[in-house]
Amino acid sequence: MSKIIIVDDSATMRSQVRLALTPGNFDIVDAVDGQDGLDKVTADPDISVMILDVNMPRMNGIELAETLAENGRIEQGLSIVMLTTEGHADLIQRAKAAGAKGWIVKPFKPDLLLAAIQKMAA
Amino acid sequence: MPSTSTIQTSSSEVPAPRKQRDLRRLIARVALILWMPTVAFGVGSLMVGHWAPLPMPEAGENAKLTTALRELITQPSDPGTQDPRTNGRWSLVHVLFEGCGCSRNVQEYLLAADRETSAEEWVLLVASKTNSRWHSALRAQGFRTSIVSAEGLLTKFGIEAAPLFAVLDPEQRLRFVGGYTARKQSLAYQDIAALDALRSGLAPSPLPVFGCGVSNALQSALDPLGLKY
Amino acid sequence: MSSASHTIASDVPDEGSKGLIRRVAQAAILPKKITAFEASYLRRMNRIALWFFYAHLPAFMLVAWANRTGVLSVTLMTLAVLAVPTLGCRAVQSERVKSYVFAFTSMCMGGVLVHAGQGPVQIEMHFYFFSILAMLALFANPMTVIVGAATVAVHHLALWYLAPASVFNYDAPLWVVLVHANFVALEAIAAGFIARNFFDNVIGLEKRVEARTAELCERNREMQTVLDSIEQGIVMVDAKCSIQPEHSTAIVRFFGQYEPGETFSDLLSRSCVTTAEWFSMNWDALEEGFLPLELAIDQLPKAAKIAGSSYTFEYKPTFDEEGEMVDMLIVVSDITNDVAREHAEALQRELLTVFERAMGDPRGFAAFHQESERLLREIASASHANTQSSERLALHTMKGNAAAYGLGSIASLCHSLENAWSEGDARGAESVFDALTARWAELGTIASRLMGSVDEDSIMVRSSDLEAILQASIDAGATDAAQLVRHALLEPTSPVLARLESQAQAIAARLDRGHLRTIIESHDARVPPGTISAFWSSLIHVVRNAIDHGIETPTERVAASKDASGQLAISTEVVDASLIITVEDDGRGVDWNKVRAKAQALGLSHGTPEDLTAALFAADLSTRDDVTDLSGRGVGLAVVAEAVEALHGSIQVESSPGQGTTMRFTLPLGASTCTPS
Repeated sequence: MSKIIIVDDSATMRSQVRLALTPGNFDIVDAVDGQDGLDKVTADPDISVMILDVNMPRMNGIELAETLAENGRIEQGLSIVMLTTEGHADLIQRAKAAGAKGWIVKPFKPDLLLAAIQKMAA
Repeated sequence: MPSTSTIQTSSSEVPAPRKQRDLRRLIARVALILWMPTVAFGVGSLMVGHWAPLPMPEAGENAKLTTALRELITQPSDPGTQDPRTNGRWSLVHVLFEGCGCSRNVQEYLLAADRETSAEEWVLLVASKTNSRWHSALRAQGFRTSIVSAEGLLTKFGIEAAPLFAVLDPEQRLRFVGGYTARKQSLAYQDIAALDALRSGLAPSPLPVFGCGVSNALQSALDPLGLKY
Repeated sequence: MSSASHTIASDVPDEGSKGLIRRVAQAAILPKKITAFEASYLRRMNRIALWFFYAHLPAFMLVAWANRTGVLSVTLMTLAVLAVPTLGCRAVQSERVKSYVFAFTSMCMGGVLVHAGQGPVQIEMHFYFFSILAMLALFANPMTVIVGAATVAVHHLALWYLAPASVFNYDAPLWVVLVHANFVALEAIAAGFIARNFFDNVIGLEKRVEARTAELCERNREMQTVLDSIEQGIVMVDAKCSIQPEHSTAIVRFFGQYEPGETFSDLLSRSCVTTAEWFSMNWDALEEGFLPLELAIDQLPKAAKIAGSSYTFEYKPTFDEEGEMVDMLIVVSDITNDVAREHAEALQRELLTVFERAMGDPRGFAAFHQESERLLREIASASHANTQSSERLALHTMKGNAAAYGLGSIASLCHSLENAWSEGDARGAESVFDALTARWAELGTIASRLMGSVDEDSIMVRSSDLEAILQASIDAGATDAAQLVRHALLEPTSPVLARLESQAQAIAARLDRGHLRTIIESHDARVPPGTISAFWSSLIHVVRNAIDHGIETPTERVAASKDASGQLAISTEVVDASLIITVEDDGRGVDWNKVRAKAQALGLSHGTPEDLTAALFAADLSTRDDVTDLSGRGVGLAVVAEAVEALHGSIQVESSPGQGTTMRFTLPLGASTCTPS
């Protein structure tokens, strides 16, 4: 069973993502901001997929992705997928450069999100 | 622009040769249209002759043929030869036309070395009286021969076409007259078979005459274009 | 049932035989068009055939010699037959017809050969007919075989019957002829069949390919017509996103011409870089295959605003058996008009809501309007990147208020702005904010127009309530109070004057009088509601008359050393329980001599100035000789006179030539009318 972390400061968004992923039967961890996400993903090497919001207090998504790239966590098998709004090509380019593998546009379609995470977790 | 003028001059030159060519083609067409039926008719006429059985002479007791043949075999036509002794023997009279391919084939057949018959054999030959190679060859082979003109053959014997043969019994009665083959252009000559049948008291099947017309009238009917004769 | 089945049963054989004949005919007759390939094949075959028949001559001579059938005569006959194809090659252009000539030739050659080969082998010579008939199949045309068979049939049958019956004995060989004919027919059928198949599968194949190609071209042409006339932009890209040549004209109209091999994002980048960038990035994702294909396709841009037009994008990929994407159809729709229409419809719906709310609760709505204006100012002052909680609260309040007043578009824009703020998406927030202010301006203008007369200080009272207060005041002897209430019950003249003013401006514009200076003075006059409405509506004739007849054109005015723009003053005043309405222009004045002359002509009295004034207002009198669509029929002023008379009023006209005209209408108003004290 794959372990997934959702890093988003919006509780609503986290619960929406969690709901969408229910059929996938994943082990899901929540993080409320970038720093929280960094702490949790560093502590738990089993986490293999990170769903990452861009705008968050303390540490934003891009910074988090960059940090995880630097400390080698991405190399160790963490797949990052960004949650973003349409049209932010610049942000996504930065996230990609940092090591994010994909991005999902909000508002997302639950079945497509599930398919994407299943593909990444496999 | 100059290219346009070139095209114009060349196009103004084109019609003359084309007109000439068209005229030539027209003439060729007319010629073809006239010539094709002619050839068809001509070739058709060749074929008709091949298929058509030719007229058989009348062979009744009082027919010309009967009388003329009896006369032929009883009176020696040629004083230089031996007196014919027909009594007690059957007579086989071959009628050949030296200008006819079919007759030639029969002549060659008669000249075959292994020919054996107990009958008295005659050849009635339509040929030149002075210069007939067949005549001498046949005589050399022992045939009794008689040369007759085409008109003579018709007026005296009532025969229009050749080759044919006639069989007369020892009493000089005409027993059979017909062509050599049952089918056109066959090598199976039936003369001896017919003679043998008659001798054993059987009636041979009738044989049609295939070959050439001898009389002028028949020739022109058979070959209106004069291709063959 | 039974009759139906009977019909079918009786029809079937007939249909069958007809169908068979048709099928045989179809099989025997080749398609008319000769392809280049068939033509070149037949040209070669015909050339071979010609030499083949020329080669018959020595062969036939040999046969004639061997069979002693006369070499010379056979040579002549062969030459006669050879003349046919020789002539034919010159006479006929069509290679197919040439092959028919060869078919004929072959049969004639057979006849000559049978003649030349007379003798013991003559039967064998007949083989020629059968072998050459089979060879005719080489021409790949059943008709060639048929021509050959027909030629031989004509020879055998026609001449057979034409030959003199007296000479021939028919009986014996008739069956021979029939047997021959039978074999010839059988062979001709087989050879024809072979020829047709040879044609269909080899010689005529090019024609089929051509037909298919033509069909395809036609379909492509039709498709292009469809693509040209279609409203949507349709373009096909391959798996590498290169644009394929097939496209609808609309795509070029939307985004311009594209070069072969360009990608769709290259094309987009010329019109809208951000959409192109987004497209290109998601296409990369699609190619990388990290995300599921459906997701990558779903995240391609779905809509874009490019150069003032709104577009939607649809993507229809096709896949091969292995599930790989082969190509993708991109359908672009210009929905600018739809957006505009939707916008207008939504605006109208919301305006209706605004109107209903404003009518139902004017004070409440006015308060909402005012608060919204204030909130919007606060929102506007916010930095989109870093908002204060007070600003967020203001936005939230505005959203709630708008929703409560049924302004869905405002509420949803507020919601989007909230989202953008919470996302820290400054750019998004900015564009949403622009949309919000634009929307509010649209709705707000209407709302403030509705609110115009309703200031927060005013209240609405039923006139029956006021009348009751009036009665109570009178009863209580409170004359001052009664006076005030009575005044409140009266109708102000100012809106009527304002309306007349705007109408005057419109008339002046239509009559090319240039700029018209208007002076409106109501003196806060009030009249009992409804009492003089007929007069009000007739007064427009006076205004029109003043502009059309009184005020000169700018050139005339300048020539008369006047101000180029004319002046019209309309005023109301209540004097001694009468309403005095004055309409004054600075035009050319009334030509009294003309009025007199006209009055005289019409048999009206014209002695005194009063008589002339009456005549001026009489029906049928017009001092103008021409009739315009605005005045001149002499009816307008008569209507005014009638209205004044009905109210027992009076008319005075003062006019001096070149100076202008003043018309004064005095209408008695009765006891209830008054001026403010």
